[in-house]
Parts: sequence; C-alpha cells; structure tokens
Amino acid sequence: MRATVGLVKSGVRGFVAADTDAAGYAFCAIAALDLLDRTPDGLLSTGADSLLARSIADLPGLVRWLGSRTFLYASESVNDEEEEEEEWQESIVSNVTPEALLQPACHPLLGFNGRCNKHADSCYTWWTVGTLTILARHGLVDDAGQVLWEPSRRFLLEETQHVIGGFSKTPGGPPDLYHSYLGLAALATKGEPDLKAFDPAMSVSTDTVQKIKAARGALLRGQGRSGLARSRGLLAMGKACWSGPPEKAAQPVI
Amino acid sequence: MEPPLDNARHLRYWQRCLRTLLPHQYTGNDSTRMTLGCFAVAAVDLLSTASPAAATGSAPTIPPADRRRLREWVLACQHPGGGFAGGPTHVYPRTVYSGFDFAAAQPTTGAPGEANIAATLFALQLLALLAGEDSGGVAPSSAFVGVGRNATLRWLRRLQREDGSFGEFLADVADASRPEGRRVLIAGGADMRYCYIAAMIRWMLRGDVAEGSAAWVDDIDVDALVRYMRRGQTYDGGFAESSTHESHGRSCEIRCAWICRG
Repeated sequence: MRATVGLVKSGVRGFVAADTDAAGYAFCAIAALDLLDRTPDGLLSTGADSLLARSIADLPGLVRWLGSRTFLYASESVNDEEEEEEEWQESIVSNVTPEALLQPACHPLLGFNGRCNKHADSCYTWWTVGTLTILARHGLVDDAGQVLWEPSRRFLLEETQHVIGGFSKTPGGPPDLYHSYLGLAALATKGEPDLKAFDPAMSVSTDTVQKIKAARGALLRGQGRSGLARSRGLLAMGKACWSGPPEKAAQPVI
Repeated sequence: MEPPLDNARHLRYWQRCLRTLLPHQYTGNDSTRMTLGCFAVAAVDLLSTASPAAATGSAPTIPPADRRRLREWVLACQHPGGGFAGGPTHVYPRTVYSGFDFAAAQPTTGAPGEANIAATLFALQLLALLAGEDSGGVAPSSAFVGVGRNATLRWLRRLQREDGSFGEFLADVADASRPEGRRVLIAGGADMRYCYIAAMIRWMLRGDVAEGSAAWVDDIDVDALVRYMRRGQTYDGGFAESSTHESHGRSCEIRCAWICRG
C-alpha cells in the first residue's frame, strides 16, 4: 500500500493518493464505524441511536449513492480492423429500471462502478454490497435489498471469473489476488453456499473473527508478556551488539 | 444457484499463488507481501468449507508445516517498536535498533517507518488465519503469542493526527528547526482507508481492559476519528478521501459544484 501513495506534504491536505476511489472510501468509513462501536465480544448496536446511525451525516443520501453504483452491464464484440483483435466493450451503461429487468428477453448482468461514469469493476460489487450489508446488520437499511443480487452475482461469475480460477478486474482480463479475494468476499457476504460465513466489516470469515477473539483474550490473560519479552529480547540483543562484542549478545526470544 | 461457483478451481488458483512465483506484474508489490499473503490464506480459508481435508483424505491446501513456517515469517516482520513491516525486505538487522528506546522515543530515530499500518492489519489477520488445530496450526488462543500488543497499540496511537485521521507509518525526517535536527512525521495519505485499518487493529488487539491494569494502553481518540469520518461525506451522499475532496474528482471541481448548488 505504501507504493500507492504518491506525494506527501506535511501539515497540509494537498497530497495525492495515487489509487483512490469513492465506493471504497464509503465502505472504509462504514466498516470503521461498525468496528468502533463493536464490543470486544463482537456485539453490534442497532437502530437510530447506534454510533453508526449518529455518525452518518446523510444516510438516505449514502444509500441512494450506493444504489447508483449499479447499472445494467452489456458487452458487444467489436472488430478493430487495424489490430484484427476482437475486443469487448461495454455498450450500455444505464441505470437499472424495474421495467428493463422485467422484459422477457432480459438476461441481465449488473455491474458496479466506484463513482459516476466509470466502467464496471468486479471489486466494486464487493465495496457496495459490503457497505449495504453492514448497514443492514445495524438495522439501517432493509436487508441490503437495494441490490438485486442474482444478476450481480451472474456478472461476477459469468464475466469476471477466470478459467484458471480467481476473478479479474474487468471482463476478459487476467485474474489478480486483489479482485479474486474481493470477488469471493462479495459472494460470501451474500451467503454463497459453498463459502464460509463472512464478517464484512472485518473482511474475513466469521471463523477467523472467532479466532481473533480467542487470540486477543489469551493475550490479555497473559497481559502480552510473551510479546513484551520478545520485544525486550530484540532490544537487549541490539544494545549488546552496540556496546560489546557480538558473542556476548543475548539471544532473542523468538 | 446458477451458474455455480467452482470451488476447486478457485482453490487451485490460490494454491498456485501460494506455492509458485507470482507473475512479473507483482514485482512492484514486494513491500506489500504481507497483504498478498493475507489475501491468499484468507481465500483458502473462505473456500475450505464442506470437505475438510482430514475427512476426504486429500492433502490440505496449506500443509501444517507451511502454516508454522508462514507464522514464523509473519512474526519475523514485527518491528520492535510496535507494528509490522510489509515484507522481509523492510526488516533491518536487529543491531539497527540498538540503543533506541521506542517507548520514550529517545532518540527518535531507529527506522520507525518500517512498521506500516496496513501491513500490521494483514499480519494480525494472517496470524489468526494460520491458527486452528483442525488445520495443523497453533491453537487459536495462541495465535497472537509473540505479538507486542502494548507496543503496537501505543504505536497506533502515535499514527493519529490532530484532525482524527490516521497516517500510514512514522517517518524519521530531518528538521533543521529542531535542536535535535530531526522529527517524527506521520506519513502517508489521510483518508478513510487508514481510519478503517486503525479501527480494525484496535478491535483485534485492545479488548476490554481496566485502566491501571498491566494491559492498559491509552486509547486512540475515537471521537476525533468519528468526527473526521463524518466530515468525509460529500453532498451527493458518497464519501471522499477528506471533506474538501469528492466521491472522486479534484477538489477545485467540487468547490465549483458547491458554488453551483449554493
């Protein structure tokens, strides 16, 4: 992530983050609020008095904006005469209307973009669906129903799932680790039967969240002594190397 | 559901990512190997549902010996002053840290920048993902053994800016106006990503501790963080990297939009 950060100026906001997006920011803010309000045992508060509800300046605006990230995806084959290579391009970018989806011949694919006028990108299915699911868990939207999941799922599996496994960013592209994980995350968030149950705010399976709780509990019971010992061991070794011959150095606790 | 998700095919993809060299396009990601590793192990975890390897007799996707080695690799990327580095190329020989007191920040140097907030998140998640006796890892309750919890939480606190946002790492920079000639800078972008990561690290490590106990560490400023994120929502309902930026776009365009609306 460090590599993606471009120019940094101290003290002012005039920096440029080279890799930014808006739906990702919405997810990060909502998921952060979920976690700040979550008890160590993982209990969530719900309703209008929750930290999440109180901290979103304009909830209807956010839900509307998230709903606008989805559009009917259609592609057509075009032949570039000079390159003689077949390319696929999005031919229809439009907001979804119920009428369009009800047409008998409609075999819809719903793509998501990160902000207005951008192309469909598989990871925005996750950022949008993940955000809405967190809001639904807090009782702030109805069951994440703003997203028609079946055609959204079809877009992931038919258009971005790769023949060697994994998911690509855009239809026809190679799979990469980032989009492959977030594709699975979107599917797991919506209860895909062959995937583990998912905790969207923690972005890992609920199994893993249970392990984190167990690990933290044990650390607190031992009050982090082993970590402290390891850290002290490293420092002691460093100091010994600094002030004396290396053979007298204390062995680090690893 | 149609079409079905082909679990086996996805597992093969992730196994390939774990066990062979990644394509050359990932060369520039050498500093973020912790992130890539976490994605791979977390994906295997998500895909490992109905058919535990022990029941079917097939080899586990991540053998127990590899789980132990990966765990050691993660812990070896820990910074003695708290937090984790994104990969072994950011881990200095231990002698580099000699003579430095990270708690008192005297002197302030000691390569603090090697610990990175995103790497720390993914390292902690990896330690949990690699645990689990049924898969041959350590017990879940031992997953964070070896983690400098208090040092990491103190380091996380130092990453928070006065406006409530979080930076990515602490940089030791020259500053001629200071008597010591240096100062520690909260470096990296100011946006929702690091706010989110900070909230995750806090939830994973902090727990419910009473003030005055050995495990007590001063908390981050939660109210300031919440205020910062609340300010990040823009007029159209989306979120921007900060209040003067927009659901993407240059800030000047947004100010124009505000004027037009006003």
